[in-house]
Amino acid sequence: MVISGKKRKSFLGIQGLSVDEITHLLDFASEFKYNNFSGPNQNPSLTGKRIVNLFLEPSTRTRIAFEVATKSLGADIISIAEKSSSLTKGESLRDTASNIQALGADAIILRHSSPGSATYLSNQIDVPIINAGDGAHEHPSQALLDLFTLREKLGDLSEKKVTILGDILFSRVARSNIWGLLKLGARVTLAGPSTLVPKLLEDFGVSVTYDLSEALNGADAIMLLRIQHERQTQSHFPSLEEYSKMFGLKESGCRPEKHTIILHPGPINRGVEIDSKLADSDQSVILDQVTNGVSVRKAILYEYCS
Amino acid sequence: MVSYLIEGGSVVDPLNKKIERRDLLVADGKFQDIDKKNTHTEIISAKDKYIIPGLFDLRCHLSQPGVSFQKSVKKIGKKAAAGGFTSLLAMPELSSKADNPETLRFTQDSIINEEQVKVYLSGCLTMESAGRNLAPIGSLKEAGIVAVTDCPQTPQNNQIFIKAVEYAAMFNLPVIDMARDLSLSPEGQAHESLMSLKMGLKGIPRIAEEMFVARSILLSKYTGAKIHLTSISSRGSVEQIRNAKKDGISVTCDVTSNHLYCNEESIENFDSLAKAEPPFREEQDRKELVSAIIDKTIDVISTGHKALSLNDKSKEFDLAIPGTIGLENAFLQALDVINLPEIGERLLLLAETMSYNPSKLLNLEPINFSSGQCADFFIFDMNEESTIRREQDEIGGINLPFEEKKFTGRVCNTFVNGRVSFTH
Repeated sequence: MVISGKKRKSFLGIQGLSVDEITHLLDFASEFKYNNFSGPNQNPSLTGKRIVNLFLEPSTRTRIAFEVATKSLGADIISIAEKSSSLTKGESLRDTASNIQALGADAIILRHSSPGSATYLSNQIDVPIINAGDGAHEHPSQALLDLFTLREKLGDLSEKKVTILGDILFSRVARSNIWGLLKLGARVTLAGPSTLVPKLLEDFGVSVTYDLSEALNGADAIMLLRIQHERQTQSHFPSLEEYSKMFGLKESGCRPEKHTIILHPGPINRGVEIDSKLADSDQSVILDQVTNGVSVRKAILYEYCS
Repeated sequence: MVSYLIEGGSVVDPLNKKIERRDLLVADGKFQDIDKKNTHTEIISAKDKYIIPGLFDLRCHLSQPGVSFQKSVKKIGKKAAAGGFTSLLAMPELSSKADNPETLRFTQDSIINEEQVKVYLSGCLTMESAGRNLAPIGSLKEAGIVAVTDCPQTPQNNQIFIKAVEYAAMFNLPVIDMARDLSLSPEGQAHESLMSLKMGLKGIPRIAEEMFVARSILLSKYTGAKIHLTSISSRGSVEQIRNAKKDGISVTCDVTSNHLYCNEESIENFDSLAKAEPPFREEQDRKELVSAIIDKTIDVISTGHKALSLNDKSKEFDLAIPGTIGLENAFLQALDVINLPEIGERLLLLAETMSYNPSKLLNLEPINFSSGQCADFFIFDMNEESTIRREQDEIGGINLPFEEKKFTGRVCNTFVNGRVSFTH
């Protein structure tokens, strides 16, 4: 293990961030979004930096948002997908990353299917690692953009009721959001089928319910999670039809209150987690999330790579 | 002929359940009457030290991936001797699977170096330990095995398991089973708990072990077969076995010293070097396992020793091979956690669970300090300290479940067949 004294800090997860660090990143992202920088640096730039996007799992939104953010900060970005990397030739993640470091990368943005892979890599090499999703562990940049969007729409999050609905067990987005929301003082309710939302989760300091109307009642925001076919190696619920019947949000029937905003990290399964009409309604802030994703990632990149 | 007079030590004797100050004469590989010493006898002072019967590891994996079998066995011999072990039972992953007499003969003829540790062989319960077809257990016994097991696997199919146990009973071979129902822990990486939920790791719930512990208990109850459950890790397993023993069912069990010493927090921060098989569970499980040693629900402390190199261990957590090493640290750890007030009681309990009981379970003669008996023992100094740390050495394994720990006590010398196998 080569760990030098000048090791840079990595962005690994929301669990390890303090409230101040989260608030700072959110405020900084807002400065990027509205271009009103208050700090000493009026024109943050990463010109001359070389950032590597190492995406070893499929991703559209996150990968492109990081690319756009990097480019608009003036840095070079090199994107590597699993199929085009030496990992297909049997090279280990450690060796691939060491080579990327040797080629002069200033940061690696990592998406990987193994929980803890970003933590692991940050212990192995000197370059800062930006976690863009590691298995079911964390997806911290997604959580930050969700928090950013919530704050924009709802103001201060303390005592706000936020319901996360769907596949919590296999979801890194859920885990990162639970940490972030709790740190910012929100009341968090988790809902979905009992097989995907274990009661044990209450020990995080959240409520768990299997009753959709209770979950929706009085919620300021509802965050939907994608039902992930590719992660469920076995049956955790009978069918998509049954899921949609029991837990899908519908324009008619079980729907959120009028003032409740609806978030979804994408990609949406229309007609499963939410029906099309509702997804495209005024209550939905799904596209705001995508836009905000770029500002939030600029803030992260500048904070950890400059 | 080399002979030694071990002078002034306190002999820990689990057979007679006592500790007594006694000199021992070792010659010809055996303990001898003290008056047979001669002018060439080398005197070793064991003043203020304990003489403990050589330890017997009931679960040791000999082969290390990426290292030649001979080299890994040699290294295991060294580590065993340094930890006070004089015998071990090899799990059936040898240079190839021990499901045929040829592999066993090859291992016996060419590899086993008994100067440092005596290696007893186990055979597979099913072919390739795959749980589909019975292994030729009778022929394996003729080739010299002393137990059958598929450890670290176990037949998932109940019919195969029951038939294998019944068949092995015909040869009076103990069956060793490492309980884990894979259907309840598919792709499991860690103990299922709040911590594994936080880390996003797929869980191995207690029930995956307990379901198969129940299977062995029921099977033993209905057929009378002797089954030994190896490396139990869950408090629920302890409870089931405690009740079964009260009902007179002939099951026995062991726990690894690492499971007595570590809990799930060892893998916090995704330390794959501490990824164990079975997984380390919660503090309440660990405490219950320690209590079960003291109340004798658990018969044996094993090591589960499985050496792995950096390449197999330092990886993404779910890709790292599970397993930890324990030969050097087992006795020291066990001594540390068994919190009986008297040091004598602790040493007697360890001599029983780490030397006497494992021999008995395998139908072998336990070590006995009488004249004419095989001289396998070690000298232990409670007034010294030992530091156990992870070694970067590729051969011998990097996978100690902690970076570095200090323990009370030190193994000074180990003797196998009356010869010195280790000197500090």
